[in-house]
Amino acid sequence: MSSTAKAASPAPGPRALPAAARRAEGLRLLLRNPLAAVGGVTVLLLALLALFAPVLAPAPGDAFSAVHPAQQLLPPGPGHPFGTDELGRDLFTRVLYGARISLAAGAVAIAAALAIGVPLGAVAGYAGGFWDELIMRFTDVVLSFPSLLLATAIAAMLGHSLTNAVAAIALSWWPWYTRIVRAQVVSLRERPFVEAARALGVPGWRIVFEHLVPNALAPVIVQASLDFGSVILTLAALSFLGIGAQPPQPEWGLLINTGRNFFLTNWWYVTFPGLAIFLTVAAFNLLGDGLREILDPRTRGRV
Amino acid sequence: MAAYIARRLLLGLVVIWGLTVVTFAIARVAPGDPAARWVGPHATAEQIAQARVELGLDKPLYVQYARYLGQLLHGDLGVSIRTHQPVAADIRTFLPASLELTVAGMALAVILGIPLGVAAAARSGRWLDHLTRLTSIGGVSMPTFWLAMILQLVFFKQLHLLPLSGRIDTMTPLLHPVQPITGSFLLDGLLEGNWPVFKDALAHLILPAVTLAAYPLGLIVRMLRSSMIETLGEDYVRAARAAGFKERVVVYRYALKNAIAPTLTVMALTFAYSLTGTFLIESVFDWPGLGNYAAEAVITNDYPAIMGVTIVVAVMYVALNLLVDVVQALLDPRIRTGVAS
Repeated sequence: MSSTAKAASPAPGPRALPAAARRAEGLRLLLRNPLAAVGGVTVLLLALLALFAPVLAPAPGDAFSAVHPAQQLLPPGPGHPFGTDELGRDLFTRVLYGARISLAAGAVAIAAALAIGVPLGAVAGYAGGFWDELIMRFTDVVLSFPSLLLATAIAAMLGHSLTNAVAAIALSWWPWYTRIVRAQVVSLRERPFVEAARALGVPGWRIVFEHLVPNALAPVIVQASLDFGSVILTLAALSFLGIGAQPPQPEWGLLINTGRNFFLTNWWYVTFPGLAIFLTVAAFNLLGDGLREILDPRTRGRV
Repeated sequence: MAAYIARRLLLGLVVIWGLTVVTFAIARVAPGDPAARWVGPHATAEQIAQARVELGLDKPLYVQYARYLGQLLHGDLGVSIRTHQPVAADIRTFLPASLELTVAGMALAVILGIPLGVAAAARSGRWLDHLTRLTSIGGVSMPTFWLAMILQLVFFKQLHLLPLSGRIDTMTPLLHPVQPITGSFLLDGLLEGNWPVFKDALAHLILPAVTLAAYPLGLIVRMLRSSMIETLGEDYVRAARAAGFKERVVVYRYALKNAIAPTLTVMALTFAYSLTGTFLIESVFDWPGLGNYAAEAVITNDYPAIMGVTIVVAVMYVALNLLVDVVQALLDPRIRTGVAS
């Protein structure tokens, strides 16, 4: 690994490096930051577990609706590594399938927030003046709600379902991306390539979406990946409140919500789904911290 | 200075007005007929039509909004569908318990967070730093409602050290009567020298407060660590060290004073954020506060209560943010004159 990185980067200094070598350099920095590396590997592992849940789960039939009266609330043991729930379903299977819900829902929520936030930020930055003021003041207002509060209020009013909870998260999350894109677009607006496009008579909307947005996207993508952990945590919180995923979905927050009726006598019921949330969110946060340090030249040397 | 504060206050008022628009929009844009929600699932068509007129829902949207704003300005948040009480009265009943919990949690987070953040920065890259970073990442990654139950399992079920839930044992105030002064059993017990009440209230407060502290603690440590690392690298700190000041004086007297500003903002914002955090843990601890009220409201579709709590907490959030900005401008002339970037 390190030998290939060395061979590909004969000249020091990030500017001199070709793109492939820069990526290798980034990867090397990521691996040298032990906490970030642990986060990255854990995220990869979780994605694989989620992907292969149907193969790995001991009882795939237990993921959603199933009743096994003979094996209700069994403690962890052979056959049921995480124990069973009040209907006798294998908890390990359910937590494994929960990973699919959390990762997929998190990705959809962030994609939706990007779909709202990026165009708004691009328009505000490029148009300036009245539209800029209007969009950015509205952004300020949305950001002046604590994010969990706004997501809770929207999810409660939309009606209780996983889809609506994801929509509520996206609706309370987009302003962050609007701000970043606007700042990027403002700094790109006067660059020669944009001026050239304008001189050639390219219409404004094409300048924004074909020239400015692709160039403004990198920091937004980074921020979006950093937000993954918080989004998963928010989704679990909404499900715990009963306004996110609904039974029989094996969403982690919902498992804890159901498990709280039994947890004092059956410790495993809330413990394992909670550990799953904790590990996932911590892994994303560790990875995000590492990414931030690598991308910020001020802290790069201090990792 | 006065001009800066006036401008900031005006901006705060505009934001609060914006909050009312957003809250109104959420309540109106949501699918489903608000009149049908108001009268409940078993109402007849006539009852729904009558409710529509009563609630003013037959009027155009801007009239409805004006009416909503007028009621808000009079402190009228509507009537809760679940408790049949005015929402404003409900909030007045439940807010003090939540404030007690939030203040206790934040105090814990600040008392632990400042020395931890400073120590981690002073020993950047060493094992204490790594340990602190792991703890702070743990704090912000942990689902609080889960932490609440794990603490109950350990300290109530296994160790029998602390009570499971509630604000005080039902028997304690009966055996040791307490005059309500502040409404907080903890403070009243302390003020009146009523030790059994004080001790019992404290025992009930520990687990919820620790749970609530986890997230702000993680944030405070992270923020303070990074701004302290930056400040400790500055020339004036090197000068102070070269002049032979003790390390403790350099770190706490010189560096911390400049590094704490961003952390102060975070502390104020997490305070308001923690009020929302109580939504998730008060029901676990059966704590009779605003969070418990809000959690009940969202699950029973009590939309006047949801909207009322949302607007009250959001306004507190904005007001705290404003207060911090003004205090920081008073402390730091660079902010109010706009010299800093």
